[in-house]
Amino acid sequence: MDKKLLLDTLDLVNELIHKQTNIELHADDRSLQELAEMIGSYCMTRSRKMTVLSCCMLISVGIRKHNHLLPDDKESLARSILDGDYLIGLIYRVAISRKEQKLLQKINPIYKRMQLQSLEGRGNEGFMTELKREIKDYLDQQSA
Amino acid sequence: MKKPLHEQLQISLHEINEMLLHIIQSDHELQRSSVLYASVEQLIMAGGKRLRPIMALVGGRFGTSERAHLAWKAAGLLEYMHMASLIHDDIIDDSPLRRGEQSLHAATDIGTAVHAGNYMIARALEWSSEDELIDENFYMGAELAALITELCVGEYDQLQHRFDFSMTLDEYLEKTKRKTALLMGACMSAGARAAGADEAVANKLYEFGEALGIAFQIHDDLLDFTCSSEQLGKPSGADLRNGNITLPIIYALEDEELRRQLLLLHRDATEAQFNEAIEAVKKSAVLDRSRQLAEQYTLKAKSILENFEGHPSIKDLQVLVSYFLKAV
Repeated sequence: MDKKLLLDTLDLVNELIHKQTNIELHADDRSLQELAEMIGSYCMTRSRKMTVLSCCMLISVGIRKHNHLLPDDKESLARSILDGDYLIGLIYRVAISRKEQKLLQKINPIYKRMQLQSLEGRGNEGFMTELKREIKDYLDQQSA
Repeated sequence: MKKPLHEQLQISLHEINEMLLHIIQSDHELQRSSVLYASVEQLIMAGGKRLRPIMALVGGRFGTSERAHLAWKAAGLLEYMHMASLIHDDIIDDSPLRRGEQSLHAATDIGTAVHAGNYMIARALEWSSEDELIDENFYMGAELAALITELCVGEYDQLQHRFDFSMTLDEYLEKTKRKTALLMGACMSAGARAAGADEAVANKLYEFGEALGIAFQIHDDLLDFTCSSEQLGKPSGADLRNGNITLPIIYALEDEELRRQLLLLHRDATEAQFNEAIEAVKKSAVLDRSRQLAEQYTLKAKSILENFEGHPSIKDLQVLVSYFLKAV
């Protein structure tokens, strides 16, 4: 596995995150490691691989922030909401600035559906699987 | 009596509301019987001045008539972004009321309100690129959605400076730009860009909207002191009680006696301490001073109008300036 791709992308994302947010991402997520492995196997520039993986990282952590809210701790609640909002917003910024808006057209509908599932009380266990499938589809199209 | 803003600009609020409803009605993945549908519908029907979509539509008048309808897409997306941010802000500020009604998290629960806000932005972005010019509209929409990061930094700033009475005027203005003015500037420029206006025109319209946005926020700061809870539709004095440092407070801190009273406040201060400080600020000259700064920013917007001399829609910008001058 190209562990360097994951770590370099992590550094990139942490550099992009505004200092005032105090958010720092870590590479301890098994599903992100799998995504890094899949993205790393495609024939495209390293910079593009890092952009795609950055967006996956941001959406994964952003969603987690909004799924783990502590209503009784006002300070932590406010931070978790803002962190999630910020990280999701950053996906748009990263994808647009790096000319990967078609990637967003893949990610946005999954993200919307996931919100609907959460509101219906269904779990998000299938989210990373669906994300991985859509990313694979996107990379297949891009490298065809 | 002067007509309301939308009538002066010949913009139908009914059409704006219909468009906002259409965004959820046309989502085939959203069930009409769901709590989410009812919540968003109620939010839209609760009304509002629709300042942001109005500004986007005015911006659209600086483009071409063939593309004018695309400004509506920008208007819809920006209003959804605004509504979503209010839902999340109400949770962060622990505010139980919005326009006199229960805020969404109070009427449902925090998780529902957070996901509803997220859904609204994702759906509006999807909707803005349906039908035509899919790639181009999606790109424009995603650029607008990226502004969320800036809005958030403004909110982090506010969160980190709660009860921080050392905040300077420059820091306040920077926070206000991010939290409020940026979105208003983006409304003007996004409407213009969507309708095919020149980049230079869109940029000047951004500056115009940003200046009005700062004036708008100062006006909002003032309402916290000048209106009753009934008039506001939310608790009066809520900004200070939440530790949000607004312009009247920054000015009040320059007065020795007011400063002494304000420095006694912290998150666990008593109701009486807050009430006393709010009354003292109300009686002082700082509200007038704040009004003057708001007026200066409105006049700054007015000075930008010279860039649009001869354009038939300059009269619409003049209407906006008059509206904001009257409001402050």
